[in-house]
Amino acid sequence: MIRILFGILATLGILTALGTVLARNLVHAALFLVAFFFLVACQFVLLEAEFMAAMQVLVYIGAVAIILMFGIMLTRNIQGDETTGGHWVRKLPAAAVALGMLAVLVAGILDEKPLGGRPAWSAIQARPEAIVPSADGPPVDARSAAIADMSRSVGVEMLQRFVVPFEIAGLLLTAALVGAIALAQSEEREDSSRSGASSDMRGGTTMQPAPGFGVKLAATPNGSAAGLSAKLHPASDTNLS
Amino acid sequence: MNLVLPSTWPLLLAQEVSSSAWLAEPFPLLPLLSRQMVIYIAWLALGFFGAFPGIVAYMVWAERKVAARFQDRIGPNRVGPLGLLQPIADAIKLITKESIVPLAADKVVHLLAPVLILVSAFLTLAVIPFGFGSKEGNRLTGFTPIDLPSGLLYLIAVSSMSSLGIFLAGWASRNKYSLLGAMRAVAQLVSYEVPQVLATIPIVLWTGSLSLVAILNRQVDVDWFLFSPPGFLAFVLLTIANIAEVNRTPFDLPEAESEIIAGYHTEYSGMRFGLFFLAEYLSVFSVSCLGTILFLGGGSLPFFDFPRSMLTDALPSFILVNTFTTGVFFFKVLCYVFLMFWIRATLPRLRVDQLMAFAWKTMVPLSILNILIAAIWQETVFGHNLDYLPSFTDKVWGWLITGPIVLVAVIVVLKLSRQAATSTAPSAISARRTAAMASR
Repeated sequence: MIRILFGILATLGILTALGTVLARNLVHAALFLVAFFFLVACQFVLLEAEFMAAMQVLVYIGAVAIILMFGIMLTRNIQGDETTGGHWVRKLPAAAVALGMLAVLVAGILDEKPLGGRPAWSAIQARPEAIVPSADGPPVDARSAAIADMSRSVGVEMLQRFVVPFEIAGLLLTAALVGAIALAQSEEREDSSRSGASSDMRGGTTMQPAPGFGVKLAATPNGSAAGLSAKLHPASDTNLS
Repeated sequence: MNLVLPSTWPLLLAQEVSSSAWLAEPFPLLPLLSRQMVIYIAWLALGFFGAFPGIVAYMVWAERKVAARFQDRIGPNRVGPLGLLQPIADAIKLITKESIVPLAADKVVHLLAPVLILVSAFLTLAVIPFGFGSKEGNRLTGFTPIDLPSGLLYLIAVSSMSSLGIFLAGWASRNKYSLLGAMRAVAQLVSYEVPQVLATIPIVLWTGSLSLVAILNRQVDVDWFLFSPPGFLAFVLLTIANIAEVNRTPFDLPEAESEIIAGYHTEYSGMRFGLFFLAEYLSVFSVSCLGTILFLGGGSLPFFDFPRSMLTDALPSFILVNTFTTGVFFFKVLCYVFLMFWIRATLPRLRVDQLMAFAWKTMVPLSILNILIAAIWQETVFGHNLDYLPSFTDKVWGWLITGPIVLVAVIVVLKLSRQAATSTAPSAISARRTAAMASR
């Protein structure tokens, strides 16, 4: 049963990943990406990690996808007719980067150093049995206890073994946040007549509503367009950290 | 059968009802389906296809009646007694209407968007414990479709999916006003999600778990979380954030009729519009359930152990207690929903800058401060052991210590944010004015 489900979800995942790459319309590509995130969350549920699944939905669909959508709205041509094409020579660096990333990931996965005396994942043949909810009292062994209370175990790991990476990630996000606010502030100071912001945001030829968006946001008394984009980042920061 | 005395049948039923048998034993009549699957199917069929849409339909009727009373009118009174058949008439009208899709619209996404919003609103209801369920030791299992160990996180995650649906609805319509509404909606939802999540953190701190059933149990043990200064502040913050999350007045800028005709659902008609309508009221219902389960103790009564002490393994007790607690739960939800109707009928709409300033300059600092105050309450009242039940003197000490801190925090934050608003806004406007003059 679980194998069949895994097969279906994995196939759909690969199809949506392909759709993300191949879709000509950028919003459709982003939607395929959202579907892919959701299928990854489903895989987490199959792995009995429903905390991770909820996190995946919260962070990737609730925050990252929304910011991605905002980014797409502000690009010039969302239909992807002219800007995404080009000569094949131009695509070479992108292909090199993608293949290099793939090589690094494959090498890293194959060269896994097991943690805490456990065998490497590739050495494990059988999948551990699914957790049967115990009738009364706490779950039986350490593994089921960790699965039944995953938020606690993740929190303890984050603040004990992985505290340095966790703090560094938080610092990085804070720096990005401060940088975004600084950028937004300087933009606001430059265009005192407010013409810059709206002309930046116009430019969409196929996307009709874009001018309205730019004009409206720039015309709000205090917030303005820059303020809006700056205010979107703290939310993602909170979700991620 | 005839050997069984009448007085022992509760015991036999108790064996049947006790949850271990429910979970482990396959259902005798349907060997293919486990007992748990039958329960899931019953929840789906009765709750998610039957009860919840019905509740939503009559919430619309109740809102029209309440709003009419506030405006010295009568409200719907033509279809059926007291206008009780009005929701059914509205539903028939919506279903039979033509569903118009704009020519320039993205057809698939245009259909997908309301479905996404509705699914997100329905999914939130899957973890709410409506009643007490059965008892394992002294722990209640909760009358809930599913008890996830991280249910609160799940609830926040699936409710954050609705902003994506709103965004797609605005984008796919190819309408200026729709896109404006969608932009406003997403900015607002993302902003108010932060204080909404931060306001639930004291609860997680006091319960030590993300499971909504564990939160219910904790509130039956100690009192409702509302009855503490940080808990009350968190409840107020959560209520404000909830109203903003479901786009209702005074936070209904995304669908402001007088400014952007109707925002993201301008280009929707027929049942597709009906889906938005259903989703809006369904999310009102689900955030009311969230507020009830987090702060108002779910189906429990304040200061009494009464429904839980009555709950035994016998089937009549199970049915009676669950009917009673579910009724109490829905009464509380009704009060909460009425509060939202009341606010909607009373308050005018905010401006965009006021909305954002209120979220980021008032709600977020207050909720962060409130987490610290909640930690003080935890130290003075609950202690570190989850088995420790606080005595009356503990609570008095807690009130004496945290009450003044909450008051000072609220006054200081409100004063500072007001100062920031009055000191920056006029100067910024005058600076812009002089700049405009200079450029001329």
